[in-house]
Amino acid sequence: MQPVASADFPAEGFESPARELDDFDALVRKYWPRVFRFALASLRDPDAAGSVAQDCLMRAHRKAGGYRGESSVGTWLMRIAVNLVRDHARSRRMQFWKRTRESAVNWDDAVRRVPQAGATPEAEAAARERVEAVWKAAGRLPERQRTVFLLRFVEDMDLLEIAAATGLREGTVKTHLLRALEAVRREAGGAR
Amino acid sequence: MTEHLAAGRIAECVAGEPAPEEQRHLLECAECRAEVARWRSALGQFREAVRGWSDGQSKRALERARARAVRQPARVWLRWPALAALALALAAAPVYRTVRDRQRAAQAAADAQLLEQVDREVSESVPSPMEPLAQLVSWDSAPQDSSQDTSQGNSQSSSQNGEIR
Repeated sequence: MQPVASADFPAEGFESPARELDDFDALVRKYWPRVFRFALASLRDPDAAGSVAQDCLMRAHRKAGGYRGESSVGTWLMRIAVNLVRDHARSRRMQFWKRTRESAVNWDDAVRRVPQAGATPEAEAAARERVEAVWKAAGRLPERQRTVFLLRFVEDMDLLEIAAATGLREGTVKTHLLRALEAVRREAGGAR
Repeated sequence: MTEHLAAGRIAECVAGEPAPEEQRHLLECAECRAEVARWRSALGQFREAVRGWSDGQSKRALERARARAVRQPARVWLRWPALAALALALAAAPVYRTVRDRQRAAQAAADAQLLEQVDREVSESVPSPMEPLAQLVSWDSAPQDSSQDTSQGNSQSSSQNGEIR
């Protein structure tokens, strides 16, 4: 399991962000895992996520001149990915849901491997149930709430970074995040 | 303290954005503290599960993407026939220019040869069919009383028209 990444992407090994965008192979090596992960968590389809990640990195590479350095390269890439995921989900809604069902088997495997250091079998089972419940509840969130929820709790991005990646104001991001959390707690049966 | 935090406030604490009042409440209320900790833990496990799932799929997806990228140039040509035609025209332009330049050079050489021939024929005093007749008459048979200068001039002229002698 990969360690949890910092909120932003590190920029080591490159002299400047513009140069980083010019080296396509290095761009793929460094950012593919994160862009793919966000797309996968959003679309729940490995093939679609791969297409989105590929498209995202190719666009970033081709349009490197459009990067103005207002955010990190990583946040800029996530903004492209957010737009591509949204377009993909809207244009291929039927395929999206069909493939979601097909990829459910892979997800079940992942849930079974949820780490529980020193936990009893009962605690492990309870943790798996919670993760499963969060997963299902997140899938039922409205599009914007789901995007903000995944960027915050899967990608560890803070509110400002999420605002930059989604094009929303920080206050709007916070509102979406809190509503998403309340909905997930309610759906997952945790709300008092 | 009589009331627990409402759902919205619990969400703020779980999101890592608690107000000072909520922070104080959490210090005093073990139940709310446990609720926030439980959800933070659940979301941490959710993150690990998603990351584990993604790690398992990422490499295969990248291999598929690379395979698609290899096939993509052909698709681009099909998708953008106008661009393909433009690219072909641009690629063929130097060849066309070379052929056109060669044709122009050949034409110029032929034109030059024709002009040379015309000049030669114009410079002839007598047309070719009349050459035998011209040979019977000496164009140098100038009167004997001609001045020396004139004779010299005729001589010069005849030498210039030596071919009709």
